[in-house]
Amino acid sequence: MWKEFWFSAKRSLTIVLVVEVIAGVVAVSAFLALAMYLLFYAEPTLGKTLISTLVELGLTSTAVSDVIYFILLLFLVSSLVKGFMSSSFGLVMSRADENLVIPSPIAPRSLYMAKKFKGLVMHVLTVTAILLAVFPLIIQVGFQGFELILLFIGFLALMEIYGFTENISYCASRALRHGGSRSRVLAMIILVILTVFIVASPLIMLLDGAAFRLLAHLYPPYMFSQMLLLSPSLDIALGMCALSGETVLLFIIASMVSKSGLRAWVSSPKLAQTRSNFIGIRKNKLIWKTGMIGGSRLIFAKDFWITLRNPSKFFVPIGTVVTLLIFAFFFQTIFILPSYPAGIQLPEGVFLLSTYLVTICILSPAWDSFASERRTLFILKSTPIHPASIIRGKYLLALLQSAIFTSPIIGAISLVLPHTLDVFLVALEVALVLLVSNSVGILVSASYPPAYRGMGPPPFLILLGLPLLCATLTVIIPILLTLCYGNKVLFPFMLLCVLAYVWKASGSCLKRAVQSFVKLQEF
Amino acid sequence: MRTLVTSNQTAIKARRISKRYGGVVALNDLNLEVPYGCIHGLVGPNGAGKSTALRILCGIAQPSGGAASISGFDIENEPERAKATLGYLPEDPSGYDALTVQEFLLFIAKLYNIPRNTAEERVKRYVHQFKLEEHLEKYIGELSRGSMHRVVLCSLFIHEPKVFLLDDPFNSLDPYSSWLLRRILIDKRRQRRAVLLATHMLDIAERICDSFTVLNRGITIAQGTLAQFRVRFGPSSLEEIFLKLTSET
Repeated sequence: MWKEFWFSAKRSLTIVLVVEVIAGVVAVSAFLALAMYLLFYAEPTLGKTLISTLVELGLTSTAVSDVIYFILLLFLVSSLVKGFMSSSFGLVMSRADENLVIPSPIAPRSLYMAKKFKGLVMHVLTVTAILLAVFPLIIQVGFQGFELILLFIGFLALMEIYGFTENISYCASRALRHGGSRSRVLAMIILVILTVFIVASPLIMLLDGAAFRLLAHLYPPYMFSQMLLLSPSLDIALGMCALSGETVLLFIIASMVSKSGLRAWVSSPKLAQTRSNFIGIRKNKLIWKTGMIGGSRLIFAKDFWITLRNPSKFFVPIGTVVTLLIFAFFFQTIFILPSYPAGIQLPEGVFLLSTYLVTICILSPAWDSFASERRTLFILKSTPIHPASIIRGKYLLALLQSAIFTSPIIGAISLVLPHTLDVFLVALEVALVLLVSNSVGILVSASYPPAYRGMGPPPFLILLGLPLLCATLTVIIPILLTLCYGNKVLFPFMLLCVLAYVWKASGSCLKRAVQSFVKLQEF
Repeated sequence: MRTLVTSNQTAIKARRISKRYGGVVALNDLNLEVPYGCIHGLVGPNGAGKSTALRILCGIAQPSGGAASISGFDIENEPERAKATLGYLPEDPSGYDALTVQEFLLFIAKLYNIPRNTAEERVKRYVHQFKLEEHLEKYIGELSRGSMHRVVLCSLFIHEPKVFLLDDPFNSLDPYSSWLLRRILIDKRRQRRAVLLATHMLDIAERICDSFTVLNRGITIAQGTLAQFRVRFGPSSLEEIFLKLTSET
């Protein structure tokens, strides 16, 4: 058995390119060497290191620890997202393996073992490279043999968990795509959550602790042990970034969890009848009309009923919002806020920013507008309906949908947040942000429909780039209005300016969307 | 792109239309003139540029060069007026999964501003002709490929276009529907409608088409009636002529 495994493993290792391993190790080592040099060893040549600069700026020990913890957690979440969007079995099987190697006379088990073995070799080499990079520090601090082994195993286990998370995440998404059973999908989701929050957290803490010990040795202990803030403004800024970052990460996790769960629920045969009744709303009773807004009303009505009759389109975003609120409430009130240094009041802007980011992230209806027309584009393109009517109809529906999806967030804010915060202001800012963001979403969708969905998973950069684009165009709105709120003279003037900006920005986006739609062919 | 001036008798006119995707030429300088009351066959092997030509003519794709008009309206400068007179069937037709067949057909009728009563009467007529009564209350997403094809064909006839652009319409049709479509197309010719038919099925094309354009790798290699081809190639079937033409190029 072992002999067979070894020979097939050897053969497979040759197939999956030894070069891949060498290139990986060289790249990781080069990156590590540069990072470690800037972090710890740059003092003789540059005069200071990255860490010493941060300490001089007033970074506290808690903040350093938070940053390290956050980075390690970020890797974990990125594995989760990568696996969910991947079209092949992540770290274990590539698309080429699935199509070429699996049909060849190699037992799938042997191939899996060989690839796993290759992955393990990669991880061992990477961990060795990391530890070698910080070896001088390890010697100085005086880590014992057992501690070193623990550190090595901890790193290795974490890397395996990253890979495992990616693969489980891939399996969950594959099960969804191929109509996996509800229990199987839910089991996978539970496994992912357990992996992320229970198994990985102690490991991250172990490595975080070790890193902290190294840092404390490098710099005078008093700089790290004091809990008084050296620079409150820097800590508030860091707090805002951390809270906003965590909100986005929570959104991603909540979105994936709720999508998985709800899709499984939707595909459950037991609920088929309920679903059928729901879908059958006004079956054969729809009256198509063109009103004052011409063909836009027709397109709006068509998309509205299609959305309403599609449980995944309708329930999934609502479920995402609800799950997000539950996640955010628990995490922010139970874990994050109490861990803040005593005496520090988080400004309302932190909450506004979180709301704003969630609002941006929730715009999937607009990005999805034309992706869902992939097979029916010929109807819109070959019939005598003006492209502007099509864009207008889709924009109005996207506005309606995103308004419905963001209302629970505004409602939750009014219940949870401090009374000093005016819900009217939040609602106004969200509405104005939605006007611009949806127009950007429609423009991107008309220019590049598969960006959000359609032909396989969206490119990761686009998925991240779209919220960034929306954020860039709209971030000025909440900032200006919040700053001027309360000033009876300045606020109306600023509101007028913002309205003019919203009108101009969304108008030009929609105009460009019409031009893009005219050029849009097949996708 | 230039604007085309066409006579009242010309239903479809294309002058030197071409389409390039990067360095690949999908269609090169296609000239075409189809009068009313004519069924014109666009034949050629896979990748010849037939679908590209139809997509340009119906306004889905923009040509890299040349000009085209439908019913006298330039497809680029007066797209809505041109599209109001044409009916396009793509190679792989599809509809909106969450609408029923009836809702879909009435939606298409509304896109062409057909009054509800007239639309309902036409839906009834064509649904009966294509034997789709049992599917009328089904969702589009529940239909088989063949039924889907028939529904989209129905949607085409409901607004009674003057010009038909059909991309492989006999593909995935059952023998009855195929026979029915042939009969309807012949009727449409009698009603002085124009049909541009891209197809692989050369036996059907030979039976119903009045004239042909043979494309190969985006280039027009022959144009004319079957009689004209026979003068050049001898008494052969369209299939034999097609094989000779494509092997020459």
